[in-house]
Amino acid sequence: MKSLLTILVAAIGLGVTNALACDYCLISQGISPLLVQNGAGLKIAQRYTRLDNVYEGSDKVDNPGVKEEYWATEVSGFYGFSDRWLVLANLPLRKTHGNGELAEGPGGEPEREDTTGGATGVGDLSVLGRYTVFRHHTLDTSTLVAGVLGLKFPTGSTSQHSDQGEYLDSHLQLGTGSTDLLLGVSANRVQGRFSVSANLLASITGEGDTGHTKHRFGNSLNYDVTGKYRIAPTVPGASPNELFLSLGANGEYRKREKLDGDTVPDSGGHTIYLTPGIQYLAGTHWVFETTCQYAVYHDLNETQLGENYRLFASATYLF
Amino acid sequence: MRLARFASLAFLWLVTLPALGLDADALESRHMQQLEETAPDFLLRDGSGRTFHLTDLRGRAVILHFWATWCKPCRKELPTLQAMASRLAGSNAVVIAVAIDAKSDAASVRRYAVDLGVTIPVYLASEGTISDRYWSWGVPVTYLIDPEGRLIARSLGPRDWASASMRALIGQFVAPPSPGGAESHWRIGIQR
Repeated sequence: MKSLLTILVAAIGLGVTNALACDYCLISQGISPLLVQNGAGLKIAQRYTRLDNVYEGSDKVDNPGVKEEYWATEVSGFYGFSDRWLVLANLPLRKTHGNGELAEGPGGEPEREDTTGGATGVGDLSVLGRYTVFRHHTLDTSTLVAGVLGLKFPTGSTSQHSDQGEYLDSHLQLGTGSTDLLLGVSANRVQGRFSVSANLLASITGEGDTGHTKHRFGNSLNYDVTGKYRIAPTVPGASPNELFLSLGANGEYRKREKLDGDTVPDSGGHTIYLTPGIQYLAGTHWVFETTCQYAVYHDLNETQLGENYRLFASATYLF
Repeated sequence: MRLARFASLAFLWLVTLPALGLDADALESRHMQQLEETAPDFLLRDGSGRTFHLTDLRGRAVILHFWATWCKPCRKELPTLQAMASRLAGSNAVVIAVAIDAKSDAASVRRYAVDLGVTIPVYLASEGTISDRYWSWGVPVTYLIDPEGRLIARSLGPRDWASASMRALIGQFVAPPSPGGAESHWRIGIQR
């Protein structure tokens, strides 16, 4: 009962929560070799997300000392049945930690509430299918447009407790407790040393149990445009290894959450990132990549903890 | 009379197309990309100094393969390409293997191929005028070029050319050997 009360107070009574750190949006974002159309691959990725800035709308305000951190080790496997069909499964192993919670002070300013803790374990499994609806190849170019359809299953725990013995905030839980529908479209064009990809991924969320409450994260839309340029070798065939630099602009728009059917005013919003990255192809089997998604714009509803950056590194083996 | 002849030709075209054409599904199921453009011409020189242009091969189906000595998957693939070339002996097809090595000399590249049991002519890209547009996708990469000189398919990555699947595909691409003159017994095309 105390836990329920804490959640209610944190999310509704004090009207302050944090923006969601998307755990699987990078399935559609960044410079992933999932663009590979053929054969199978296995990918292991490490992601770190840090939130320790407080925003009222687009304005950054003083942080009373609240911080949240998320680590995720994601294991993804994908298989291309043909030039058109590809299936992908992604399972994250998550670690979350929150130091303090935002609350509303007497004068309406954000203040820190002493709640600490986190959780470690398996997150939510997602399975996606990708179908190439358009493709056009020439000697110099390759253009693909594909549709993406998937489901995220509630395999992660949603009943983890804080150090104080209360249920953790829904964002710090290992899963969302809901089955979500993923819908997307992606386009990719390669021409010589340059390639550009654009992705759009919508998440239509279901309702899940968090502790004793019914919680529903807001529907979200992730978008991304990334350009990639091969800096080495300058002449094709000079080396079995290739090095690319990339720069992406991407973002996440999320609607407000619901708690036991009531809209949480301090939730949802829009965050835009700039994402430089490096990709290294070692021979024909290994792909290594790293990106930093740096948040350059926030427009969060009411008062929320916003993301600073996400660091991402991965190694992929192509069979 | 002319109508009957036209109908006969149309019927013949319809029954031979599925059997001998390379349709999009056949390419797709083998992860091959469909192309539709004229193959840029080039000149290559063999170990004896003889040269040829791609345009000299008009009227023949060309399987144009690019590889490199530093490419490990190519090492595994080349003997299967050789096996396919041996099977195609007597047909109207020609298999061309082009090494794109920038740092190796022709003699060592050809020795490397011979050590793998490759007896088809091996060319070195740097000993000709072939454009790197062909292998900007990396190696191994293989193109199918029809008798009119059009690129019709691209295969990225290594293949087992000796497999039943690829044998079937190439069987559609190339006419079977014929004692009465190969050119008159086959056709090639992409179904839509």
